[in-house]
Amino acid sequence: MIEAQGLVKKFRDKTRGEVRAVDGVSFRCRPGEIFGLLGANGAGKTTTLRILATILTPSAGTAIVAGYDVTRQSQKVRSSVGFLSTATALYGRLSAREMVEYFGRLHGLDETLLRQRIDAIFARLEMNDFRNRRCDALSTGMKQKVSIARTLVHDPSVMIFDEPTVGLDVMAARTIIEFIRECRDRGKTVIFSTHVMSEVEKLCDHIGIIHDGRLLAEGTLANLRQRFSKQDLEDIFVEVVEQ
Amino acid sequence: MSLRNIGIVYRKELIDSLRDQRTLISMIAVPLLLVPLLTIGLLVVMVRQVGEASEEVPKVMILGGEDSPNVLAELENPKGLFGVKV
Repeated sequence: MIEAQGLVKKFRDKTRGEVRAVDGVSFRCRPGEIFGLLGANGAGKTTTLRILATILTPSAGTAIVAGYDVTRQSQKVRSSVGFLSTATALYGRLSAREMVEYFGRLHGLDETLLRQRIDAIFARLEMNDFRNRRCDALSTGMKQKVSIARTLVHDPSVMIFDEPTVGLDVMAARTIIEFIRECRDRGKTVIFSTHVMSEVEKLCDHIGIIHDGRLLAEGTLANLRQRFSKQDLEDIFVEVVEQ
Repeated sequence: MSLRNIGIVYRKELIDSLRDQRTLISMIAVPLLLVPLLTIGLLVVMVRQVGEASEEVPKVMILGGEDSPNVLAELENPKGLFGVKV
């Protein structure tokens, strides 16, 4: 479960002065559900997700992730969260197996459990052909799979995806989309940010439209269609943003 | 950060560095070649300079000295110093 309550994140900018990247964002995302944060570039999606993943501390407000407070119990939040973005940021000279082992050990898994998890994840993601190949020699799709395996190794109950398909080809993007669905089907709490309307329509159970740091509309796709009397999500998005 | 995590990160960094050819070259190959070369080179230059210095006859200016004939004789010894009378 993710519960964000009045999240605010202020930055100081030399030219613009105080910038409120996130301005009072509140929402709730339940287990077995995909919550889609839909917004243009610079809307505050990544900042919100980074607060939830404890990478940033909120200037005000609070968020409870998997039952833990992001500011006071950040270590526990981190052990309950898997964070995946387009930037795989793998260590090029480590093999796929070593890479996942490294993160598993940092999450405190013992060697027996780690080996079992790696074998299961590598089999499920069909990674055994390249498990001992160095990451810098892998294709983009393979790197994405390593990144997914790293995200999954500690079996987090909450998954955070920050524009995970940006810049990926169709096949790599499909792998990610399937993986997100699988996470939901396994009862994980999934939050997903994107500016691609079709992905939101395909995946999300709940949608939040964010603009200038504020969550302007929230609901299921059916709710939003009914409220704005429009079928096309893009039209709904434009109307919400222009209001 | 716990000691265990420091060990995990250290091990990863070590593997990462040892697989980096540039790091290996700068850490092992360069010192292996450069250090002996520099040591031997410096030694050769030093020996050569000491040899040249020992063969050189220094020039000494003598002011007066009429009252010290023995010293003058010693200074005019061809194997010793070369005196210049003023």
